[in-house]
Amino acid sequence: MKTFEEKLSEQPLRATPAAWRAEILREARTAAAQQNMEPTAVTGWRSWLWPAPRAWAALAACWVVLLAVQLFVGTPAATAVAQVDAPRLALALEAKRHTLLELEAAVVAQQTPRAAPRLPRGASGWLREEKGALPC
Amino acid sequence: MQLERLYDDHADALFGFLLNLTRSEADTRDALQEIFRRLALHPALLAGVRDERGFLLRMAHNQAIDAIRRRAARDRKHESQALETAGLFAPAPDTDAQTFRVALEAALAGLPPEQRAVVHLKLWEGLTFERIATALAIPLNTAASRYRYGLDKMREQLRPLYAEITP
Repeated sequence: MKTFEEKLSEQPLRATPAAWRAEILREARTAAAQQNMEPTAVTGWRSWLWPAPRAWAALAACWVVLLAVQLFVGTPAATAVAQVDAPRLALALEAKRHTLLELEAAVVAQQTPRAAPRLPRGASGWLREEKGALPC
Repeated sequence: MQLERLYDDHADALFGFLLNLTRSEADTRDALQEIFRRLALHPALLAGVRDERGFLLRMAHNQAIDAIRRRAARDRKHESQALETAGLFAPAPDTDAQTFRVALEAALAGLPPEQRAVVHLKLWEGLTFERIATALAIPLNTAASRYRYGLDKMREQLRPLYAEITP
């Protein structure tokens, strides 16, 4: 006598519809051929982005928002400040440069040794006294 | 070709398993198509695989679970829970056998998918609990207990009919 399990397992399952074979294999081959025809760059990008497409999309959205903020809010104000301050800054720099030059000239003047004072040409008597004092 | 050989060797087993799980010929067709599409796109999938049938049954199980979830969402949306007759078994030569097969299909349909998957692989694929556990990615004891629970339910449901047709 057959057991319950044997009775169940001997019930034959229906076979796969015959028409499916050609259709399924054809569609599978078409998909593989299409993948092979895709440019390598596109495939590379897809394989890189595919693991977390939502994360990449969110990151891209953040960048777009930041770019928009930068373009419409941040940049004009900064440019305006820069435009207002530019001449004043140039004048201040010029004044500093001038001061530095003056200081440099003063320092150079202090470091240069002073030349010995020249004797008056008409002091011959004084010269003679001097020569007499020198050892022979 | 490799794809043809795979189809000829395994398509019937995958078809029966998918049909038993999804209860829908359309979902079974889609799942089978997806499995062979993936095999065509990634021929290296089976490289180094020792248990080819087990690997493909696992792919089929994943596809079936996806199909069941999609259909559940669709059914919630459309508020229709109609369960179509899948036609899981081959037509029987006599009325008694046909009645039993219809009742068996109904009993299988009454099982939760996880029990139905184990019962199917044990009874109609003849897999050991170890191979079933590997194919379905579940512990060995879980596979064995699901089989026992599923078989008990079916025995209870089919008892009158089984007693009647068993000599």
